[in-house]
Amino acid sequence: MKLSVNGIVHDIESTPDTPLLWVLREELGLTGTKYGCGIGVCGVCTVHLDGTATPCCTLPVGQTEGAKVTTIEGLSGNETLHPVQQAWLDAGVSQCGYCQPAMIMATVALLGENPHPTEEAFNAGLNVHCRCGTYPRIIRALRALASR
Amino acid sequence: MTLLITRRTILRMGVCAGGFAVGCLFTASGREQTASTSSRMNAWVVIGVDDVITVRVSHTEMGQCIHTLAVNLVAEELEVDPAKLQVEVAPVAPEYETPGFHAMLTGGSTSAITSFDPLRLAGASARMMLVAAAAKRWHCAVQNCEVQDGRIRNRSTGAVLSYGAVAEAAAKLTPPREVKLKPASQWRILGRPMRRLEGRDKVRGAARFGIDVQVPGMLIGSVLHCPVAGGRLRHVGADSAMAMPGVVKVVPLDDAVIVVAKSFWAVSKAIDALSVDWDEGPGASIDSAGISQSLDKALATDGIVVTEHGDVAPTEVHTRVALRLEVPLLAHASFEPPTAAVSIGEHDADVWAPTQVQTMAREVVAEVLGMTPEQVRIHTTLCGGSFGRKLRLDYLRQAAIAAKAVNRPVKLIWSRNEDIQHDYYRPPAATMIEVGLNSNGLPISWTQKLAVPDLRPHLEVSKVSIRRADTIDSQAVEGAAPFPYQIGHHRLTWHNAPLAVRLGWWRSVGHSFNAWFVEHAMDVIARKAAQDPVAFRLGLLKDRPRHQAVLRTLGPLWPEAPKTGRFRGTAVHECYGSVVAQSVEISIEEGVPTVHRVACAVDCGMALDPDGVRAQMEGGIIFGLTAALFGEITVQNGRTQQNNLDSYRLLALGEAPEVTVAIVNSGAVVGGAGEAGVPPIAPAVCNAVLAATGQPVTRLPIRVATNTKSIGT
Repeated sequence: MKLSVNGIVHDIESTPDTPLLWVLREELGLTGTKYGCGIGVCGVCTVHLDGTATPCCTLPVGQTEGAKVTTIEGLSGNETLHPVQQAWLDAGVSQCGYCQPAMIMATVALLGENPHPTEEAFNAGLNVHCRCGTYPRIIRALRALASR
Repeated sequence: MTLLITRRTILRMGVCAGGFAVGCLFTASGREQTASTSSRMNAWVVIGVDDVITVRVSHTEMGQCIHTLAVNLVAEELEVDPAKLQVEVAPVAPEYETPGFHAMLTGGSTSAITSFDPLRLAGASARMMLVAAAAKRWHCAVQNCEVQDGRIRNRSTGAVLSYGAVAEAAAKLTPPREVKLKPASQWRILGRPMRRLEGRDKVRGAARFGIDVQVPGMLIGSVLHCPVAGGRLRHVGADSAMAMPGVVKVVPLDDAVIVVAKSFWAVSKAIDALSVDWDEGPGASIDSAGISQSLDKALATDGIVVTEHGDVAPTEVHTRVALRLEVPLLAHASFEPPTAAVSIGEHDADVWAPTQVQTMAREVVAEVLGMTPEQVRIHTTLCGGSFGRKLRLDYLRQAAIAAKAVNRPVKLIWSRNEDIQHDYYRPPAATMIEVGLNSNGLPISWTQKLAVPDLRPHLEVSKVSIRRADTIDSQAVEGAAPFPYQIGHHRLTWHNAPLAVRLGWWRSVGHSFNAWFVEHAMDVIARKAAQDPVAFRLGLLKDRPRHQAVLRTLGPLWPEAPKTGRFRGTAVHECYGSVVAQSVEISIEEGVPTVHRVACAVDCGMALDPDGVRAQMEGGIIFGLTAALFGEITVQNGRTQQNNLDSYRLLALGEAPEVTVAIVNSGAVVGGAGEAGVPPIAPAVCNAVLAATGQPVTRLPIRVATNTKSIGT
């Protein structure tokens, strides 16, 4: 099958039942998207599917044919940062950093739908967990982004 | 501050000092080397002719920002812009051992403490050698040279040499025997917020964790353990699994089965297809009710006296308060699961892993492969969260067994299921506290029994770090003793409650429950004495200026009284050389407490990286809140009943409180920050629940009686 990731169409060898997460990580070498729970509850594997934040650890790659997948690697160029990535740096969000690509992808999608979200909208729209406990700084970064 | 170079530091510097070194950077395949021309000034500092300065880091970066701090410690004394320094992860070698552990180890909140002097000394020593080499070239006195931003200037002639230009000559000089370090008042870098070294990579998804390692020709492995700890594998039927596409090998172990295949998905499906016959053993009779009973049974024994001072006449006791508190098993649930990649060559092997214990990791892999430790190279990757889990070696041993079994590089990845079900859990613990108050409501006697399993028999790392011969497991009682409060009679006994469940170190270890025991009990007795809990504490902490200072610092962070329906609770705790006080504001709706705000004051002596310290406090608070509100591993028929992050849930973004952190620089010796933020939060929240309901919380996670009416919003 063919899979469009970050604007490039790939021929995929993985079986159609393979979760998109493992196709990205193991077949395409895009390891920025992380494995968290494997059952779609923690959000650490969040990517964009046609611009919508979607956990991809339970999403069979066969169901994504024709969709445009964007991963953290496709969010910005080598030299530049996306405003959300810059806001993350400015707020000093990352600790271990493992979940942050998903946090950032979820935030980009949220702001794409609603550039000035309320706190309630953050809380409802950002379904990514962090074990290090970076939430206070994520909230700071989100407030800075929402007030622009 | 002048530090004499001790025998130990001479060893650390001398092993690598002197001589022109060729740096070897291992690429993903491990054995290909690219040479770069550089001079090693000492174990930590390598300077290239191109002026690229590399700092070797020996601690595992797990989110505590130790790589950033390491670079900044060197930069402060080397007089260079830390932004220009790059990092190289140190190999296993004696000079990189963590002082006090006789091994490379990242744990016990010691990263900053153990880096503080050695890395500043390394920077200062390298700077002195570079200046000496420049002076030699200019035929002038070293006093005639000044350094600024990686360059040496001749005061008389105005000539300038870069560090790179003299590095080769400098590295051949004898390291100085006496090094003068800057006083804190002259610091330009330390004590100020630091730019995160991996910050950019982490937001771009370019940071490489253990799970991200890719080795040419690599296969993927995963593991299925006996559902009951201590059980054994009788037989594994692998025919169906082996017939599945991409499956390469099924490897039976004593207590588990490893499957190796071409992808993680193929491995996962193959594991589901295994037909396994386990001998579950005696562990199958363990359940949570039995664990509570065994803690009670232990409390009924005499125990061992940990500390006792003073005496009290029973007639002086006017009121007695008795309290039994208990905490459950907890899982680490670090997001990056246990994972390691192993590639075996003809005469050597490479291991990539997010391990906290490189020296032990090397020994374990060498043992599996029948090699000497020197034949095994450990490449420490970034670690996607650990909290103590990756102090253990099980997954490294399994990765080596898998790579050996298929004679190909293997990256082993535990599933989340296996991680939650077969963790090395934070031990359960129970306490009985009896406090005697006199007629003025002053506590005059504190008798505490503490039932905690002895952790030492559970720890493989113990051979490097634990004094087995001690009667008392110091980590079981830490946080209950030393006891900070001035009470005439104090007695603490430890009652070992052995438990055949996999147990281990969990962020803040014994402090994680002992702070709750002591600090929640303090509020219970303050209430009995009808006193404000903070004022009550301050009255008993007259000889503890650091405790007093952090408690007093919280006050101005809460200038206004709580709104109707909001309740506050406070706790203070000392651990890892730091003293932390936290206050929370909560409301309770239908028996569920919501934590709205947290104020935290931390005295870690000197905050070398204040923003990093704040981040660790915030993170510790969220981590501790997850445990206080939700954290519980339960056991039935020897099986862990939770198996993923739905049944072992983490605090979500929308549940996170506002957190304000104030830093108190007391000037005390540098303390640790990675764990000290965790212990006070559970008692602070429970003290707020007590304020709201009048009822103590006797068991974590917090369950407010459902007959408690809605209190506030």
